Amino acid sequence: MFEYTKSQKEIQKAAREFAKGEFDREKAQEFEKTGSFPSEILQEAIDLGFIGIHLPEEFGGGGMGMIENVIVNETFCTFDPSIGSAIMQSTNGLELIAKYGTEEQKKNYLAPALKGHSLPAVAWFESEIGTDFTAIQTTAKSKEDGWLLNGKKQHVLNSNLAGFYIVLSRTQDEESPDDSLSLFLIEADNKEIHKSINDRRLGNNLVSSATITFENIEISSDQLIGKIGKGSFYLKDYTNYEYVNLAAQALGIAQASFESAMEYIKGREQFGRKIAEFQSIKHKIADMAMKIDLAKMAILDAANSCDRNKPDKKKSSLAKFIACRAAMEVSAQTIQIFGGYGYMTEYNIERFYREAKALEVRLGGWMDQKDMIADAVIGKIK
Amino acid sequence: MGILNYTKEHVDFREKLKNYIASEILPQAEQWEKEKIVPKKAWQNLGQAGFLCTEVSKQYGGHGLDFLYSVIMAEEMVASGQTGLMAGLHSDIIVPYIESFASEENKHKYLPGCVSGDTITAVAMTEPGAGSDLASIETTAIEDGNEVILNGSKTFISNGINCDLVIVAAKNPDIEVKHHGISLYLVEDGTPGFSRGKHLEKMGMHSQDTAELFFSDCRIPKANILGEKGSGFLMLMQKLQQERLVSAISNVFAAEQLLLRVVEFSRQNYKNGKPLSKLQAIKFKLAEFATEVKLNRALLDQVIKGHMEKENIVAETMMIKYSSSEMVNQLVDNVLDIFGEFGLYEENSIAQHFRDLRITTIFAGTTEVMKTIIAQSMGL
Repeated sequence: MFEYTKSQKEIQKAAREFAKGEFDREKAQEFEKTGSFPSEILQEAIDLGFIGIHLPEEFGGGGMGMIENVIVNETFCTFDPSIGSAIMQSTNGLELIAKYGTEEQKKNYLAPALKGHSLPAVAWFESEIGTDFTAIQTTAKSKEDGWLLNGKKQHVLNSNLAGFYIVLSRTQDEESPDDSLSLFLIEADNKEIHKSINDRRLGNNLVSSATITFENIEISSDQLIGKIGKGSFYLKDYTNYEYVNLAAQALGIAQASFESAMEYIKGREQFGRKIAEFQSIKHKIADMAMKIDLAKMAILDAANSCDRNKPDKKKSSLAKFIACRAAMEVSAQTIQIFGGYGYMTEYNIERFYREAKALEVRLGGWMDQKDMIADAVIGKIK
Repeated sequence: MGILNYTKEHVDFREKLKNYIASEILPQAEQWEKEKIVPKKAWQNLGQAGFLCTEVSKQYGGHGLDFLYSVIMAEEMVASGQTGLMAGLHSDIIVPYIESFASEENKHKYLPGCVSGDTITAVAMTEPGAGSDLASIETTAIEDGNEVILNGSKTFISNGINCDLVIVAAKNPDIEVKHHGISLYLVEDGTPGFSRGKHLEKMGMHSQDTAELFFSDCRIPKANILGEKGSGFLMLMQKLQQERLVSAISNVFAAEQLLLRVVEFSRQNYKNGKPLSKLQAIKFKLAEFATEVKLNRALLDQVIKGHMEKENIVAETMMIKYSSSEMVNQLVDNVLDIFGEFGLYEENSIAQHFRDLRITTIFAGTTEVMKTIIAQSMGL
C-alpha cells in the first residue's frame, strides 16, 4: 500500500479534526430518526474547503484530485457514516458540470453549488430501467430555441435541498440508443415541477429522496450540458467518479464499524476473559482488516486512474463492489460481536449496517457491477 | 418430500390461524410497529381464539396438542407483519418451564392464564455482564424464612413491558461453583421491588417490547421456585434446546416466504426491457437460494421429527439454529439487492424483514455458542 503525500496527509489530518469536533454520533442518531439533513455541518465543511476538493479551484473547488476526495469521504464516514455520507452526497453531479459544462454553466451552477448556495440533485433513474439508462422515457422535445421537458424521475436524492436538477432526457429518436440522450440543468424553483417526497428508507435517511415529475418544462439552449445526444456518454463517465466516491464512503462505514469492534472486544469480558482473547474473535477482526485493506487498495487504484484522466470502468465498478461488500460484512460482524448491544440503536452499529446497505444498492447492485466489470474486461480481449 | 405427519386437523388449524392473522393482526401491525408495543388485549384475543399454549395439557386448561401445532404457530406468525405478539416465545419457550418444573399449585395457578392470554410471560436470563456466558449471572436469590429476596438487573428481555409473569434466573451467592448455584423463580408483575427499566430501542422487531428488568429487594414466596434449588442451569440447558428449535422453524419459514416474494418480484419487474426473471444471473442466484432453503428445511424437519420422538438431537438442533439464521440473513440481503433502491423503502416491508432478521444470529444463542456446542458434541 503506498503512502499518502505530505499534502494528502495534511488533508486527512484536517478532515479528522473537523469530523471529530462536529460529527456527534448522538446527533447523527437524531438526524437519522427524523430524516433531517445536517445543513450547518455541510456549510462549515464547505467553508473549510472539504467539499469539492477535487473540483476546479477557479469555481470554488479545491483544485486537487479524486484521491483527496476519497480521503475526505473516507475520513468523514469513519467518524460518522450518516453525517459523512449525507454531506458528501450533497454535491453529487457537480463533476458533470466541471468536466462537460460551458464556462457560463460552471459560473452559474458549479460555483454557487460549491459555496453551498444552490445544490444539485441528479435525476436520471426511472422505474423499470435498472442501470441501463438508455431505456429512459423522459423526453425533451425540440422546439424553437430549446426543448420541452416531460417525464418522471425516481429516487432523486437531495431534492429537498436542490437548487437545480441535472436531468437525463431523450432528445432524439436515434437508431443507436447511446446517441439519443442529453443532460440538462433545470432550476428547481419551478411550479411545473412536482415533487413527491418518499417515505423513510432503511438507510441514507439524512438525504431526502423524491419522485420528481417534470411537466412541459421549458428548457433553453444554454441549459444543455455539453453536446446534444452525448448524455449517455457523459453519465457513464460520471459514474466512474460517483462509484469511487460511494466506495470511499463505504470504506468509511467499514472503518467506523471496525473501530467500534476493536474497542468493544478489548473491554467486554465473558467466560472470565476479554473476548479479544478468543481465537474466533481474533479471526473475525482479521477478516475485517483484510476486507478493509483490499477495499482501500481498490478505491485508491480507481481514484488514481481518474486523476490520470483515464477513468476506468472496471476499476471503478470493482471498487464500489468490494468496498460496499466490505462495509456490509464488517458491520454485520461488528453487530455479531456486540451481541444484543449490536441490535440496540444506542450503540450506533445497527445504523452503520443500514447505511452500508443503502449505499450498496445505489446505482446498481452486485449484478450490475459484475455486468460492468465483465463488459470492461471481455470488451478488451477482442 | 415432507416427513412431518400433518393431519387434517393440523391443516385446518393452519388455515384458521392464517385467517386470524389476516383479520386481527396484519391490519394492526403497522400501528404496533410505530408504537413499539402490542396491546395486552391482542394477547388475550389470541389466547381466546385458541392459539396460545397449544401444548399445555388439558388438566391445566391447555389444549393438549402435539408439537406440530407449535411448529405451525412459529411458522405462520412470521408472516404477521409484527414481532411483538411473540406467541412462540410465550407458548413454546417460556411456558414449558412452568409446565415441567413448577409446583402443582403454581401450575394450576398460572397455566390457565398463560393459555387464555391473560398472563403474558417473559424469561429473564441475560444481564449486562452475562450474555453467552449465562453461568456468570449476578442476580442473587437469598432465602429469608418463607421468602426469597431477589436483587439484580436483567436486560434484552422480550415481552419485558407487557409481562404479567416472569421467570428469573438468579444465583445463591454462597455457592462457589457457578453452575450449581442457579435457580429459577416465578415473579408476578406488581411484586414490590420488581420494576421495568427503559423500553429498549432496537434496529428491528419494533413492535416487540424488549426491556430491562430490575429487582431490588424483591420478595417472592419460596414456593415460587421452579424445580430444585440449584438446578437452574440444568433446566435452562434442557429447555433452551426447544427455544433454538422454535427459532430455527421461524427462520426457515421466513426464508421460504422471502423466496416466494423475490420470485414474484422478479417476474413482475423489468430491467433493460426484460423481466428480471429472464436474466441468467437472477435465475442462478435464486436457484442457489432455493437449494439453501431446501437443505435447511430438510434438516429442520428431521430435527422436528427427532424432537417429537425425544431423540438425542442436541447437535442437530444447534446446527439448524445457526445455519437457518445465517442463511436467512444472507437471503434477505440478496433479496434487497434484487429489489434495488425500491427495496429500501420501509413501506415495501423487505426493509422491515432485513431489520427484523438481523437479531436471529444472536438471540436464542449466538452462532458462536451454537458452534461451540456442536464442537463439543463431536468430542472436540
